[in-house]
Amino acid sequence: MMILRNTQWHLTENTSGGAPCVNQLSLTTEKGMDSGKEQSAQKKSQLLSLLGAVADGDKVACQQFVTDHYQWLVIIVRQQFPYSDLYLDIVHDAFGLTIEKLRAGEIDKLESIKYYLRTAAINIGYSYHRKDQKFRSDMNQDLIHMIHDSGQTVMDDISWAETMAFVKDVMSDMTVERDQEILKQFYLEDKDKLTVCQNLNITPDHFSRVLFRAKSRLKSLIEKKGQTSNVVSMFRNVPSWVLILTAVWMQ
Amino acid sequence: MSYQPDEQIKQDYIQNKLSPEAKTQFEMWLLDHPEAQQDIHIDLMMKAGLKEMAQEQAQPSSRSWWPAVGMAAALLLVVSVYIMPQSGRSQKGMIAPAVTYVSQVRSAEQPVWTLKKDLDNVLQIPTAYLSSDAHQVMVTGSETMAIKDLLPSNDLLTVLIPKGTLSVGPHQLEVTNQVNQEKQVFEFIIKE
Repeated sequence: MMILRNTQWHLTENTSGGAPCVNQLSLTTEKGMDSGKEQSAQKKSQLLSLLGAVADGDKVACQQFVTDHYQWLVIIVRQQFPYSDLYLDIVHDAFGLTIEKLRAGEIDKLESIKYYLRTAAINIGYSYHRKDQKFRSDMNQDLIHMIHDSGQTVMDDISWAETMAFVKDVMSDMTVERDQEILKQFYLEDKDKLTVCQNLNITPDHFSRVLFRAKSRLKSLIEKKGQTSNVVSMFRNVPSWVLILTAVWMQ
Repeated sequence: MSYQPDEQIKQDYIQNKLSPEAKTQFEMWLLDHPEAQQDIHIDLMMKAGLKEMAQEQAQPSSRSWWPAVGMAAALLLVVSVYIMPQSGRSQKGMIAPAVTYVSQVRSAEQPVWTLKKDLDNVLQIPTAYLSSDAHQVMVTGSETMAIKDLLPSNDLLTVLIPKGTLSVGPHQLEVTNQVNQEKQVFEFIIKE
């Protein structure tokens, strides 16, 4: 009889599309865990190699570094400074500063680069909002162009104004006033799901459906615009089950 | 055991309710989960868009006050220019005040600003980004003076301390957000 230790069961998605369902159970054993550790070690080794190349001034490596972290850093900055249209400037400056420090050999723990990048972005963001803006003018122009080009491979930016217009369209498309109120209370008034449900006398399922529909509508408006932004490309690459699971997650 | 954020953590992240440590942990997890990045990004777009919509809707009513406030400020400026004693710097009824940007710094030790007694001093104090909260600014020391319901413009509070109003010596500037009662305190010295 085989004894399984450290066994974990994972649900995997239905890759044929349609409604989400559990159609496969996979088994992870100790061997699988070892494999996970190996992957982690390999990933770390690849990152260190990439950063080494960035430090040596390899342009392709720089672009790869930006590509790998761009979307993530945009989210961090947008979350930290949610109502600022300066977020792309902040992101660009954070990459610029980090790459300059890498090239100058001033970052000791390369494996912690993500912490450095995140902290740089947040500090630069605060600097912008204090109106110092000292990073904006200090950037090497070649580096700015290079980062911008790398960013473009990930994201042909949707302008701030367009984003705002899309959200307005989503809201105006919602004919039921209560549904609009759900979005306002959740996103604008930062009320949690249960409070919103109690306030509006709706079920958690209804809350999740409304959010799901609104987010899907926003996504489709962006796609319709025909832009190849990160949001578009990411949704093109992501199966529909992710969005469906979003609805489940919100419940 | 590997970190796996639940629904509540994701909601709290969108609504900026996580502790700094929890936020950092979530963001580090996010780097390795591009599908979650996409979803969070849409949430943040919705949040920013709704905020802008709300601000646009709020503008017409608040904007109607601005012409009156602007005219009052202009009138006050004109009157004060005429009633203030002319200094050596003033020419043709205009005054060039000394402008001091008073803000807290990250170091533990806060600076002490120096203002000249014989100058009109304009103090500018940064406020929270896009804040429209009313503030109270109070100066204490050998004299006490205060102004209430001061609204920030371009994220700055601006006050004028006419020359000769404060006597030489140390003073304290206290700025209070009248909405959340947050206070900032600055030290400054009036010198001859």
